[in-house]
Amino acid sequence: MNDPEYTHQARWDEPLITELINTGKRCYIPKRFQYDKDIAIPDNLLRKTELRLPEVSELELVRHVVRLSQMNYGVDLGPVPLGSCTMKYNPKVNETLVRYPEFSMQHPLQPEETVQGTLKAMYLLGEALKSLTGFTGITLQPAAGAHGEFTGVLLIRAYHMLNGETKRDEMLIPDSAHGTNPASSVMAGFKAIEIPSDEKGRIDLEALESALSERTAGMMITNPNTLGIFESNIMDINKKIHDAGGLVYLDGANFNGIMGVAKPADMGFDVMHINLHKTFATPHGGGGPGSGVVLVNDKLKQFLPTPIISYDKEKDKYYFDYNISHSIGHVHGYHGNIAVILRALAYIARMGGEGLREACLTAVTNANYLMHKVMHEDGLELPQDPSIPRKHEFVVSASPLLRETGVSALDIAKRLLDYKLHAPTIYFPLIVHEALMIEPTETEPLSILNEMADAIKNILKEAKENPELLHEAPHTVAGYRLDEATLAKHPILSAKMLEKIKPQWEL
Amino acid sequence: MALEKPYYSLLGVSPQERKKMLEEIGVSDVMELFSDIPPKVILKESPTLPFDPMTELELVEFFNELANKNVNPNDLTVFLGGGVRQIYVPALIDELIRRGELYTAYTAYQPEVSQGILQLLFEYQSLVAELTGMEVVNASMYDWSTATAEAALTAIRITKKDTLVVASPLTKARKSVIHNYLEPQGFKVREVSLEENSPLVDLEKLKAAIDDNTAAVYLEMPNAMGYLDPRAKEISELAHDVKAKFIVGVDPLSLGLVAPPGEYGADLVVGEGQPLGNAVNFGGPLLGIFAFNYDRKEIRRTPGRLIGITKQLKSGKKGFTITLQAREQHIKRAKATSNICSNEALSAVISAIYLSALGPRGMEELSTGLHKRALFLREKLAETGKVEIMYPEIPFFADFAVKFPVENHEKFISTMVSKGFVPGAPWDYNNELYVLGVSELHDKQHIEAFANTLKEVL
Repeated sequence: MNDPEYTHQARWDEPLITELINTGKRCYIPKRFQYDKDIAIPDNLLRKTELRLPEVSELELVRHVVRLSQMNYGVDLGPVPLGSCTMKYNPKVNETLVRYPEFSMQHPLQPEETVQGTLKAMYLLGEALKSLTGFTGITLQPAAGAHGEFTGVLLIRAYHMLNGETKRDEMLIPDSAHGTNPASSVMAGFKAIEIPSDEKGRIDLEALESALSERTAGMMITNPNTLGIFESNIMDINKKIHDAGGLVYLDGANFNGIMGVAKPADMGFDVMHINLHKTFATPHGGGGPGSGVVLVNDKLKQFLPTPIISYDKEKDKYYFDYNISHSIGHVHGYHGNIAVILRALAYIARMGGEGLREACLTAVTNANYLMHKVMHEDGLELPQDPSIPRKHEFVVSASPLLRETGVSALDIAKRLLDYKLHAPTIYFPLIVHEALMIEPTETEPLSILNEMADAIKNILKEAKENPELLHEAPHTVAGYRLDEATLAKHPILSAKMLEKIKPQWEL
Repeated sequence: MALEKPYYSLLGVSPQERKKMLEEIGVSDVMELFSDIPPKVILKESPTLPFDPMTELELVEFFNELANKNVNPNDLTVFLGGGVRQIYVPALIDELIRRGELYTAYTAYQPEVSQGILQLLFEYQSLVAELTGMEVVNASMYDWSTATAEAALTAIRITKKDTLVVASPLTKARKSVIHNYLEPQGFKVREVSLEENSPLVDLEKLKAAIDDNTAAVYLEMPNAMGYLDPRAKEISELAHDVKAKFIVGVDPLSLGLVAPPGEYGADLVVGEGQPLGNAVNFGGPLLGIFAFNYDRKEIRRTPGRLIGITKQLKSGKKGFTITLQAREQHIKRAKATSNICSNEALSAVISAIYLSALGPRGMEELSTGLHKRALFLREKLAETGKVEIMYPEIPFFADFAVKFPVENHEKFISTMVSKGFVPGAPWDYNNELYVLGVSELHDKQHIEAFANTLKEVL
């Protein structure tokens, strides 16, 4: 096991780059262009205020970023078992492939004949994802999962509008859903109606039935849900919603739990998004860019954003297809996060259909294995029936530990950082108190799963012996706990604000 | 299972390990773990994809084939702008951004192990604040279009009014994005028509369009056709007279030369950050800039992540963390200011490095260089005697509009492509009109060769 006394991150006293101004130094010097005539912009439109950007040499800038990188943690350093985030390993070759100038240098307004390779890649990704999900239409525009949700519920809205069903303004959402679901629904003009879960962590069928009405536009379901539990009644649920005149949206955040094993379209879903930065191994980038492509069945194809990518077999030509009868238009300025789409295609090409299924089987094995290693530990409890197999993730509650020792899920998460591990998702889903939501993914080796289990067990022991140690954790990484309360009250969000406020602490 | 399966390199657990693990938890067949899925939807075998599993080198060969179906960028001079632009990415950027500690990281919800990327994002916020002349910049939106729509929604929440007045010609895509974000919640977009023979809105009609329902007035500087509106300050006052917010959309590459929106009264600034160090990548990932001035109450109505600086409790030293999360979807759910979760963080980090690399003089040289290339291009096009230069009196930054005397535009474009040039893009509402843009890649020779080719073709 990792020694929690060891230092696991560098601690550099790295100044803000914004402090390094007025030095006269240069780093990147733009290519010159000799043209002796004057600029042709009137004086009142020219910059008057001094532009206070840093002045550093190339070496100084490189050191600055390398040092800061040493104060950051990612999958390349250790596991990031965040539930519902699917932090897989990001294959290195993909990073090289997307940087080919033939891909990276193309402007989105270029004529189709100059970008046939990129269009083919976009088309192939679409076809592969259709095969995996059973859907018949796809848009690649959404730049993130939540953007995909928004797009998907806009499609549902367009469907009801076309059918003259303008009163359908309610979107049903289980209480275990990601926060993006209700937020996306509201942005698409719906009221978010919360549906409780039953004691098994699944959608409460009675509650669902009583919520369905002529105002139901649809339901957003995460399946497997955020407890890692598959909604076994899904066909029944989807039928009930359809019978009430609604459509069903699948939040594909957890697609890794069923990929290659079952197709969402076969379960009766009408539309789903897929987070390419989760299931298809593209990097998360410290928060983005991701991609939230949206797949639909025949009911919704005619509403997809324009253009889609089509293939003319006769001319062997890939093209932007604007021929969508009731398109909602655009949700992105261009065609989506192409460099992410290329990485996802590269991943799929390497795995093949067979490999993707194996990835799912392994991810689910890893999650259930780790769950069995920790669920009986004193201090933790499994909030739902242990006989239900989990899918790619599981949730345990640290409520017993909190009652007994005052050590919270937050403290466990922070202490895990001292063990050279990343914390799981905590306090989510909201229906579980002191939740620890753990998703190891299929790319983590057995040795790491065992390390995680050992670390959790050790922390539970530490909680009883020395709770103070945990309240103050982490101790061995670049940062200590931060004064978040003062910051929220008096935010300092830029160097400019910092200069005005001049805090008393050490910069 | 045979060992030659190419995908084994991307699985952490071998088949024999998996078997042992399953035994240990009392499962004899891995499919038992899927026993809760209705059997009729369980696939008997893996789905068929357009390709079989590939080894790494096979994958490289597959991508070489795809790449070769694209034009070699060295063989094509592209005169396209419109927010996104071809750029040269300085070598240090790729070297730094490929550090796994940065690009394989999750969102910094555990700030103690994420100080690196948090500081870089704070630096992004600080540098773009300098560039735009605002105080606060969020840690990114998806792109210029979605940032504009979210800025309009922010203004609507703050002013409790319901209409966005658009004071610039918009691309069809941006107009559609704004519509899709505003219309479902019952908010309105009012467009103002252009002056005759001008790429700028009719000021009298704009005045008539602004009223007590106006939540915000939106102006692009430069606009989608490349032009700067000399009446920006006046338009800002028109907005403020009715207590509406003034939202300005910018091409950040212009801001080493052109006045930052903070100088002429902007309340919110949006824009496309891609050309600040991010390869154009066929239009994505992009980087939505979202900036504003600090106000205790109003900031709580804004979307997106914000990184703040504070002290570390134990050491007393500076530290960084995501703050004001109570506006976001994971806390506020249906009442959140936006649904945004994943953003374009790594693109923002790239922009922070790029702006630091440029420094003030580099930024000024870059802006001025682009503007001068555009002037030179316009001069050479005029000299052909065949190209009609549109709106010669209106100032522009790095893009401008022309008319080519051709009947068959499709044929004209493909002829020019076959000779190695993309002659701008037809304007969305009038394909007689082309918008041309320049980039740092362009030399005088490219521009002269382009003009000479036009002389031959036209």
